[in-house]
Amino acid sequence: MNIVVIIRQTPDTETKIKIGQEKNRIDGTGITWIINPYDEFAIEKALKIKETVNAGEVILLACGPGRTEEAIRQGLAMGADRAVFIKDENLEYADSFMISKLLVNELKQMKFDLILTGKKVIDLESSQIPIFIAEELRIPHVSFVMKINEVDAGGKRVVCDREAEGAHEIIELQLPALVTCDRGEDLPRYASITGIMKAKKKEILIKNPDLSQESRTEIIEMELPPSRKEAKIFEGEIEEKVNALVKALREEAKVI
Amino acid sequence: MDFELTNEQIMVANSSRDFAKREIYPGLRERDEKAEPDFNILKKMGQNGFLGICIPRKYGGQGMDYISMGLCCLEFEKIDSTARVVLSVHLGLNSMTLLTWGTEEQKKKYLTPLAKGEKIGAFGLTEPNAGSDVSGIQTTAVLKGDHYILNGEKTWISLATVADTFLIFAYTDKSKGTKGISAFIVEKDFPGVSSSTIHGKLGVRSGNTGSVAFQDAKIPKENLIGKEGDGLKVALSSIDNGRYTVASGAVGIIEACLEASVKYSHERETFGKEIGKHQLVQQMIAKMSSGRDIGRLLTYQVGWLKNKGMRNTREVSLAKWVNCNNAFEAANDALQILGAYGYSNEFDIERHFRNSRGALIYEGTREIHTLIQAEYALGYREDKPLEKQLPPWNSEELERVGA
Repeated sequence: MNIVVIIRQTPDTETKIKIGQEKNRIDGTGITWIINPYDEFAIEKALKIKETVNAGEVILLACGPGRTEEAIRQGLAMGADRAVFIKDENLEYADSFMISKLLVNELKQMKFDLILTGKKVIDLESSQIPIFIAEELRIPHVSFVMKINEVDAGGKRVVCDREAEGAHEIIELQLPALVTCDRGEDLPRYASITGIMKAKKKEILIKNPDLSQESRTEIIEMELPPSRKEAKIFEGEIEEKVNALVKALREEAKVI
Repeated sequence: MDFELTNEQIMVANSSRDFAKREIYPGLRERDEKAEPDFNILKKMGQNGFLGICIPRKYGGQGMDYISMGLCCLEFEKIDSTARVVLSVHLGLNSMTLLTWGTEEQKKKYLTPLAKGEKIGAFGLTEPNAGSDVSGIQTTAVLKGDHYILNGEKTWISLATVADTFLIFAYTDKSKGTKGISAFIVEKDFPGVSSSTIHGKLGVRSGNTGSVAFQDAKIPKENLIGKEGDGLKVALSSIDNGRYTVASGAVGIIEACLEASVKYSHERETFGKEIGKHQLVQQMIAKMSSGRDIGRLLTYQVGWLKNKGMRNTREVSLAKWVNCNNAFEAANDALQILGAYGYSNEFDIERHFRNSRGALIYEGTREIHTLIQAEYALGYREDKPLEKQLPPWNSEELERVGA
């Protein structure tokens, strides 16, 4: 069972994002970069599967600028076996379409039974890439998976559990397939000191992207969400409060 | 000059932080309150490679550098002092001393299982009547045939009742003064060795601390470290490493206090504005902020000297002295900023306050370090060449992995 985990490096959730001078870029200074947390869940699920079936490899696949290597090393230190890295500084602002195309080109040359990745990336809140890839590769895909219940060691099928509106959907997929991961029960393991040392020796295969492949969208401008206004609390008897609320909704907020 | 941490060092810091948050923090308040150690954490520290982080791979360690080891101390102590104390004692005082002074046989037999985390090591210098004044120790070792016969008692020994091996200091010849002190590797199961726990500590309450007693304990001759009379030199070299762990950990306390204070300063309002806007609060925050940076710089410097295999007695004493003072001050100020919340164990600050107080006593009291710094400056104290120096970090260790 060979599992490819697609990862992306994103700013730490605790980083205070500032917009850069150009308005369509974020200011990169002082940012702590991490593995996209949902991709980390995907790595954890992949490692769990490998431990269960006790065979095959977990291969990380990333596409991005040079700094992405830190995230790859972190993933290798968690326990992934090796990595393929499509590296170019021009990929810093490549859009989902371009990244998907590059990933698909690479995946077509790789041997895999299962592709795992996060349900979304936390920087641009995008979740198009996995679906695009599954479509391009003509393989089945299921998103927002909490748990992978069963994996057939022979590499024929996988059973996933996804949450849907308060219920659970149990879905069986023929392999090869693509699954996007939600948090689930298992916290991603932390890299042990032993793991960090082992990661030093693991292979990161660097690939140059085909830059003739271009982005189809462009970010023109970014702005921070407006800071939330202070809540208005209505005082008085229940009837007064309701009247004041309705009035405010109608006249101030103009929503009814 | 390069102030940037390497990718490995950053990963070690991240890994240590995650470990501390996930394996140490849960249940910590209760353990601290009841003074109950969790020995499972020790086991997990071993499994994850922390207990041999800077010991070369050929002795079962991870072969990482001394700055990584300091970062690990920092991140552990940012949560609680207990796990950092384990690194101080097991790694700084015991393992690194064996690495510096041990014969090849001693390293194979004693250092390797410690570095792998299979066994736990501790260090016994302090006695009921001897702390800063090492010459006051009363434990004696008399050679009889193939064994030394050890008599005496060591106290305030961290990990006293869990350690498998101890480094113990005793007079082999009292007439020679401190030149008559010798160091021994003592196994807990040697006949005549017993240990007990100390209760009622102000800080590091979920850490195991106790006494170790020797009653005609039989120590094989080959467990002598160095030669007879080398004991003080051995102890001083151990302390250069132990102090590094304490100095690094203290920065963790400062960071924890600063982060909690900043957060609370934004949340809490008095007299119509958040308390961060009050200048007297700002003064305390500024002090913590300077303590953090001073602390990082002083300890990185010591780690760098160790990596290069350079003497660092003065620098490590300075780092320990300055950082531990700043950590206690930071905890004291953070407690003030958090007010009644800081005074309660619902928050972490009061634990840091109690923990940081101990470090003004152990690994060289505040006063001893003040004197050391003054004596160096005045020229009253000069370093004599060391007989044995902690081996420099071999960066090839990183390349050799997996071989």
